[in-house]
Amino acid sequence: MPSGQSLLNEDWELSVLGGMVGTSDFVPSTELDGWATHLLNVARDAYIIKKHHCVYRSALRVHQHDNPSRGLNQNGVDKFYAELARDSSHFLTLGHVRAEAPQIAVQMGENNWVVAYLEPAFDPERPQLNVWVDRMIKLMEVPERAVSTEDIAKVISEIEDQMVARNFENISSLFTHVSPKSSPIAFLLAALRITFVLRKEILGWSEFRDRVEVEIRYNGLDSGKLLRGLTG
Amino acid sequence: MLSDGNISHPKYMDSHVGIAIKKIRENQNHVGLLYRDSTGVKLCHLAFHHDLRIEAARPDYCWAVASVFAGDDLSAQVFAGRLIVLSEKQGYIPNEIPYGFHSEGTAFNTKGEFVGFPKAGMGLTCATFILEMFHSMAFPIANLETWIDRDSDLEWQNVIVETLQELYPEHAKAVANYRGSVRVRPEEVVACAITMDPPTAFERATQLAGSILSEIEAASKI
Repeated sequence: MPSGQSLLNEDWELSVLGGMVGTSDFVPSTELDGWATHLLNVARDAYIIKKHHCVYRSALRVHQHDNPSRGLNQNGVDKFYAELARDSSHFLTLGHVRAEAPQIAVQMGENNWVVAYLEPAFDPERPQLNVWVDRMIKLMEVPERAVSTEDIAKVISEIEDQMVARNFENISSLFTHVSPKSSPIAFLLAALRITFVLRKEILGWSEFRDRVEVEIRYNGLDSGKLLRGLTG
Repeated sequence: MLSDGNISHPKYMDSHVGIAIKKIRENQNHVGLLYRDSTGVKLCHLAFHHDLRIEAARPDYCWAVASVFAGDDLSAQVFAGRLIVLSEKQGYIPNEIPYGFHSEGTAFNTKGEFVGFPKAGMGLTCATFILEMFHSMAFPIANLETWIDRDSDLEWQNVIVETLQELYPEHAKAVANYRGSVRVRPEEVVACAITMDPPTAFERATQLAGSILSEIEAASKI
């Protein structure tokens, strides 16, 4: 079995999750499908066996190097990401695996490996920058509706806590990743207003303000009035 | 200009944000913010040193809708949301607000900490607390650069220092160093909050404040 380190240094790698297996009609090698399915079963067994030992989820990582004619080619990669964008529910989760080393690796063909990663269990006590950001995005990106003042207060309170703790990186990350198109305008205004005093400390504040302005205009609202004072 | 609480109770305010004022005694008025949440209309006011209060709207105040939000209900709702957070975090922010005449124009220090005034004796009055709430959220309702010193304000500051001396002698000593600071009076803050073209300059605010004083004086005699 190759070491995790050597695999992670291959020419390129693609993180995929179990849901891909069996629907991978864009993977040119039928052999790959077979091995991937086998690995998924192995990983699933491993998950069952090890779930009491901090195994959280299993993931498959497909590697290709040296010979782009075998395994996934660029077209396959493009299709894969298109599939992700089209319906992410096919996959256990998105993003790259967090495991440092593969648990299972099977060589298939001369230059390809399929590797199963078993990830550590999610620990809510462990500091993770993105946990707060993810939670905030879920809080802010809600279907368009009339939000209550209490809903707005919740957004303000969460951001204010980060301000008091001086976690400006979190706020900056939120402003980078939250979609103004998917958030009620009142939430966006609240986020801008409460952070206004720290606009020079929060990277990307001005860019976020500009994105909000675009969304306000797109909705036919008076951006000059809604954003008054939010300059400088 | 204002609604008399005896005639129209502020709990009937149908906007998200308003401002309320009452006469406490001769030469002493008190001002607070009204806001609406799902349970009704609340009054938020800095009563004195380390004493921010959030309570149900009371009829002994004259009040008006904050016209600075005229035609912009979204921003008024956001401002009300900020006040809800303030009310929920009592003991976390409110109890730290000291009473004083000078705040250097901000209730936040450069590190982003709330009400972290750098020097002893700095603080807010009931009126400047409201200005800070507006200004910290980029709603500058008063053009403070146009405000000027008035002799009668020094007299008022001396009275406040004497009152503080009885309850908080150490803080009073520090506050006394800021006597002579420019004062924004409660009725002037009301004037700034009910004009539709902020920020309001000193001359316009004092002009409106004269009418406001007449109204709260009349209401206090009912």
